[in-house]
Amino acid sequence: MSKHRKTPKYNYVILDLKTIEALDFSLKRSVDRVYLGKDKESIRYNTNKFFFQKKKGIVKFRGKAPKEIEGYRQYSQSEILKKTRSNWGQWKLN
Amino acid sequence: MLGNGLFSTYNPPAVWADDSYLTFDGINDFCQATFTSTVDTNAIMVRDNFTLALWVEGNQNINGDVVIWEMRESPSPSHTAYMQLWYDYSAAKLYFTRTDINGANEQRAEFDLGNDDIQTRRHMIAVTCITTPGDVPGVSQIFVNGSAGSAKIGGAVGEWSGVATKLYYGAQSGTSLYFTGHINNIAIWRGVKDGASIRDIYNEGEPKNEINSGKLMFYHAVNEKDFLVSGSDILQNVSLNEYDIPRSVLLSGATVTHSP
Repeated sequence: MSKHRKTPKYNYVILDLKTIEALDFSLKRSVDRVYLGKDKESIRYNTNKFFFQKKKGIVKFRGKAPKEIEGYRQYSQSEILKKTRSNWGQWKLN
Repeated sequence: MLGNGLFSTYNPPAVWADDSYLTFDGINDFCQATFTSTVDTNAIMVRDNFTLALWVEGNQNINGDVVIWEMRESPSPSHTAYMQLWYDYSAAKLYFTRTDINGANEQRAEFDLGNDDIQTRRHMIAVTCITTPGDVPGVSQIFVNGSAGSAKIGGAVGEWSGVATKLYYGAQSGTSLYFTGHINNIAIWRGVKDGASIRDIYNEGEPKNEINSGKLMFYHAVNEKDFLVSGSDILQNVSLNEYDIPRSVLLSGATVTHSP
């Protein structure tokens, strides 16, 4: 009962809106190289951004990076959480 | 472990053999089920007392307040009612809050976790909730691993309207206070269970004892193999839904981990 549960290993990338809109979220989610958001509406965006910042979103995936997002910097869960928990940054929720 | 057909035919192939659980990443994961309640027929949880139990293990990445479970009336100018089980990170306390129809007149129960916070191990959290206007003093309460916390603070709260209500795990309204960690075996019974009954469930070690408890009206064990794909939505069937309680739960980013 008190045993720790394993947290699945996911990776995250930060993409601009245009790139996100081109992603195929319908890929089967039971295999690797898949996005774990259900669609582009379910992504967390930088809604608190300054006027000069582009709209960007955090995309979660399992396994290796799908081809279209290879090359983007990948973040671990703890790294991406740090970004979203700033009290003043662009990821702060409105 | 339970599976589909809890109150009819047990269907082992429809469940995974081992315990399974939902994982929430704390970025924007949550689960949601919509209750199409109306006052006269289906507003079970907003008009009747109920008991909630679920198994929760946060992870070390929690560093602020998080919502574990929530039920909220669909927003409208006059309907902002919610009830919410949430974790106060800085105080290491659990709270269960219930408001009246206007989101005011808050009633609250609390449990002081002390050093045994939800980030250190898995806990069974149970809540007894009084929803009737008649109220029963001292009954709304949080239980953690069978131990009772302080009884409610605040008086009786008014009835909700019974309009469409949304149930969430892992976030407030699906938009903030995201939980990070694992949740499973979410069960809701009609009526208020006493401390002994809640301890029985906890002492089983696994929530299988829930099958022996009467008046179970919702049970999402998370080991259900049945998934629905509806448009871009992925929904997991729930083991039991009574009356018009939802038959499935939408997984928005939350993932299911299971053994074969």
